[in-house]
Order: sequence, then C-alpha cells, then structure tokens
Amino acid sequence: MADNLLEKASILLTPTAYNDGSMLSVKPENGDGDFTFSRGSAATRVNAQGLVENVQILSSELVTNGDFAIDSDWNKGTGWSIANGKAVANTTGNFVNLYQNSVFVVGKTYKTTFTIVDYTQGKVRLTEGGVNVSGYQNAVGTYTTYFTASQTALYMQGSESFIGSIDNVSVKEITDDTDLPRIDYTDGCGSWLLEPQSTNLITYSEDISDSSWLKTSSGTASIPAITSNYSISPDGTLNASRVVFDLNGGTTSSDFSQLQHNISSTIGLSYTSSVYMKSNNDSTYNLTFIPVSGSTNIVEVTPQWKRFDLSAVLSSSNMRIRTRGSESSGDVTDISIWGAQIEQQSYATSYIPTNGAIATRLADVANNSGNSTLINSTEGVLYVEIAALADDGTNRIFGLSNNSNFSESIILRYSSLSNRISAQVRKSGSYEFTINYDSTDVTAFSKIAFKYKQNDFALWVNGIEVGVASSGDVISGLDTLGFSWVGGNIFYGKAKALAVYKEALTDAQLQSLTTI
Amino acid sequence: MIHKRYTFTDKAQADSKIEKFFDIDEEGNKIPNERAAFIYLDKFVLVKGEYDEEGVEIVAPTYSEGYALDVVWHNLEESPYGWKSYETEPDNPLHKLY
Repeated sequence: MADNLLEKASILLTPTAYNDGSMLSVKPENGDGDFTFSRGSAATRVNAQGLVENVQILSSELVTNGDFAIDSDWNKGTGWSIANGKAVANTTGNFVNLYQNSVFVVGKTYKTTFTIVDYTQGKVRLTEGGVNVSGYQNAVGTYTTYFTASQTALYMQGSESFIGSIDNVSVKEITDDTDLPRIDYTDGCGSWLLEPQSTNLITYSEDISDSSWLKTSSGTASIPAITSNYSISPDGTLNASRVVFDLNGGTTSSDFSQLQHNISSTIGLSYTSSVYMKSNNDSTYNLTFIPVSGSTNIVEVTPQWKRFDLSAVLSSSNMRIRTRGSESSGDVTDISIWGAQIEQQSYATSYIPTNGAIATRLADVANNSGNSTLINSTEGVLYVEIAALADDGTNRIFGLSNNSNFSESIILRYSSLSNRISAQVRKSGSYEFTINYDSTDVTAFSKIAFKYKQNDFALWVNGIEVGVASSGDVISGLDTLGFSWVGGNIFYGKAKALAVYKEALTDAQLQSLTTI
Repeated sequence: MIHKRYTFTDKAQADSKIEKFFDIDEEGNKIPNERAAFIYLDKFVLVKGEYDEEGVEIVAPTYSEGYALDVVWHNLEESPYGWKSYETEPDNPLHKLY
C-alpha cells in the first residue's frame, strides 16, 4: 500500500538521479519537481561500493593508448619500451621520460592515475612537462592525483635508474565538482546528504609523513615509524600510511610513542577530531586517541577500516594518536592511518581531503521544487524519510512555502530541543500551532508525515499519530518546496524520500505511509 | 561566485563587517540577507611551535597578524562596499576551498 501511496504523490524525490546543479524528482518527470542545488565547492561521499570519493563529473579519457595495448602514441626516452600491454622501464640516471604532448590545458583541473605493475629499483612520477604531479613512487600500486595544470605535456618520468613497468596511465578533466548533489551510502543505503560548511584544520590529512605531524616518544619507546603509500585506503587507492608504534617492552606511563597534529583554533568551542584507522595484520590493537579536549580515549583498531571520531570542547589545540605502557597498549602496534580531520563542529561531517593547506567544503543548498499546480494550499500531506546529522541543539527547518517566505509556510523542523521534531504552520509571520514529538534518536531515519487541512492537522512518525491540532488556518499561495530556504535555520541531514500530496490522506494511508 | 581573502585588525572588526549581512527574525534567528559563506580562519601558523613529549607547548608558534577571513560571495562579482581595502592576496594561501 505504501508503494501505491508514493505513486499518488504530486512530487516525489528519492536518491536516484541528479545533474550538475539539480536533484531530480521521480515525479513529476517534466522537471517541475526538481530541486535547484548549489554548494560552490567539491565534496566527498561514501559511494555504493563503500569507498570515499570526491563527487565529480569527469571528461572522457585524454591519454591515447594509456593501457599500452600497442606500441604507439608515446615518445620513449632511452630505456623505455612498450610490450605485453605495459610500458617497461630499464633506465639509467634521472629524468628519463615516456611522454605525450598536448594532454593538459593550462588552468584546467584533472584527475590522473597510473599503476606501477612491476618494480625493481629507482622511482617514477607523473609530471606535467616535468613539473611534479604525483610525487615520486617506488612501489607496486595505483596512484591517483588531482591538480590544476600549468603545463600541457604528460611525462611519466623515471629517476634513480628506474627499473619497473607501468600501466593504465589515465588523465581525465574534472569538468564539474562544485554543484553536484551527493547520494551517500555511509549507512549502506543511499540517501541525499545535505551538510553545513566545514573546514578541515589539518593541513596534510593523508600524508602522515609530513612534518606537520609531530612524531615523538618517551622512555623506552621509539618514535612512530611511518611508511607512506603502504596500504589501500578507504578511497580505494594505495595512499594510506603505515604507522608502527613500538614501546620496546615499556610498560609505564613514561613509555609512549605518539603522533600529534596541532591546529590554530579557539578554546571553548566544540571541535570534532576524526581519522580512519585499521590494523595491518590479523591483530586487533588498543591505542589511545586524544581529540582536542585532551581527554584520553582507548579505541580498538581492527583489520577493517573504521572512521573514529570524537567530539569535545577544545582545550588543547592538538589531536594525538599514541600507544603508552600504562594505557592498555600492546608492545608493537602496526596500523594504517588515512583521512584525518579536525573541524569546528559538534559532529563529524564528510571527509575533506587536504594536502598542504586547510580546506573548506561549503554548505549544501537545495530549494525551489514544485509550483502551485503540484502543491495544494488548502489540504495535503508533506512526507519525508529523514535523519538528522546530529542532535546538536540547532533548528533545521524545511517544508512548503509561498515563494520561500518563512512567514507563510508549512514546516517540519528538527528543533533546538534535544531529539525534538516539530510540525508547524506559519501564517502572516505567526505560528498557527506547533505539534511537538520527542524522538528517541533524531539521527536514526524516521518516516514523518504532516497532514494539513483547515482545522485538521496531524503529525505521524513511524506509523503512529503523535500529535494533532484541530484548529488552525492553512496558507494560501503555497508553491515551493525546499530544504534550505529558512535563513539561518537551513535543513542539514539525510533524506531517503520526500513526497508531497495534494489531498489530506486518511489515517490508514498515513499509518501505512509512515510505518517502517 | 567569487572567493576573496581579507585581513582585519581583530575578530571584533570582522564580526562588525559580517553583521551587516544578517537580519534578525522574530524568533531571534540571524537570517542572511546576502548569500555568502564566511570562513573564520583567525590566524595561520607561520612558524611551528615546539612541544614536549606530552604535547605541551614549549615554544609558541608564530601566527599571522590580524584576523584572517575568507568569504565566498555567491552572487557578487567583487567585494561589497567597505570590504575592498581589507582584501589580501597571499602568495601561498594556507586555506583553500575544497
């Protein structure tokens, strides 16, 4: 019955399709139900394969014969050859190139990838006309880099007498990554992800070998040993760092091995520290993760990648990861680390990669669905299946309005009160009524329906009518549905479905529609 | 959409500039009257500090002067009136849009 009810909706949005700048409605199909979408920056999501990825639109392949299927199209420096579906290097000295001209256009942004399939000695990198792009690599693996071109030629450049072979050299232009909506699969099931602006205050979120990551030790312990590009990270490429903490038999509080990253930040505000970690073998390790509050937290690192996140009021301006003789640590802890983030938020938002500078992802904005034909002012139902990103004490409002005017609107909100969901009608800038429902957990998905009709209003949550209002006016001129139109109270959260009905559904229909 | 960088004397000056782009609604909420993303950067670490094994600061880092603020103006083509003189264009910006 619920499926049939979804077909009855005049506007239906599910996490299925989007374009650059719009979230496409399932109903109607003529575009009148589509949301306009903007952000103004790139952003990451967890894709259907469970990998962290930058949402982006890529061009077709710009490298000719990048899989080396035939011996053509490449200019070969001394020692380079093409055979058996790969480029083979048996070079001497430095800066020996395998190259193609006119691959890049200056000023455009690209995603580059190549694979070292065999390795004997030396090192190799991808460059633009000799200008470093990928950094030197000296191990079997696939290497991905994003950059903005300043030269036009693509060089695969061997140095230190590189001997090895490479394959699958790929260059694709990023034609858009700033206004693409995100369908996120963090929960295993796709949902629209709408997040606030946030800044990753860590300058090297993936390169743990950088000096911005302080490596210290005390007592018998060794400083952490770092190996870059050691394991496949949550983005699917070989770019996670191996970190080995060794206490050398130390068992006291004086014996510790520690990674530390300092930030410039404001004491007293809430920050969230997060990092992906996994064990490099079958062992499970206890180690200490200290967010910016300075409090010690023992976390269990297993052979599976997990994003650890801790929120706290800042007091110490640094994040630390360590083993210590007095903190349940094993003697040798061998883990991989990737994707560290510190942000001024009370919860962890999607990963923002950094490489040399802190970086900001701007806020998602989704508005302007519908029109007066699709939205009935005198009666109807606003239905959603949504989850909050956090129970963070803010108001997050969305709903139907007269031309995005908050004073004339039918709204649902996550309230500033803990775990509260509210349904309200505002007319001429005043509330006709408010129906409140206190959920057990607003971060869990709920199916919510708000029925509106003159003197007949009801809020249904997860199959139950949780509140009614038997007096109140409706709004004239309803014509717009949006997530982000209420100024400082924009809706941030996750949405699996959103529907608008032009009639007040029956209790049986509302129960069916909202039952989990 | 433009991305501009500014340096103000202090946070109070930055806040007073930003305040003009918000109205207060009847619930007391700040409602933006211009679509802009204000990125409060405060100061950048120019010279790293020194820390002991416990992470306690021994030598304080050297920070940039003033109060750094980046702004993305979604609907403007240049800085609004009263902001232009605070624009900066660092050679090696330590913040970027992702």
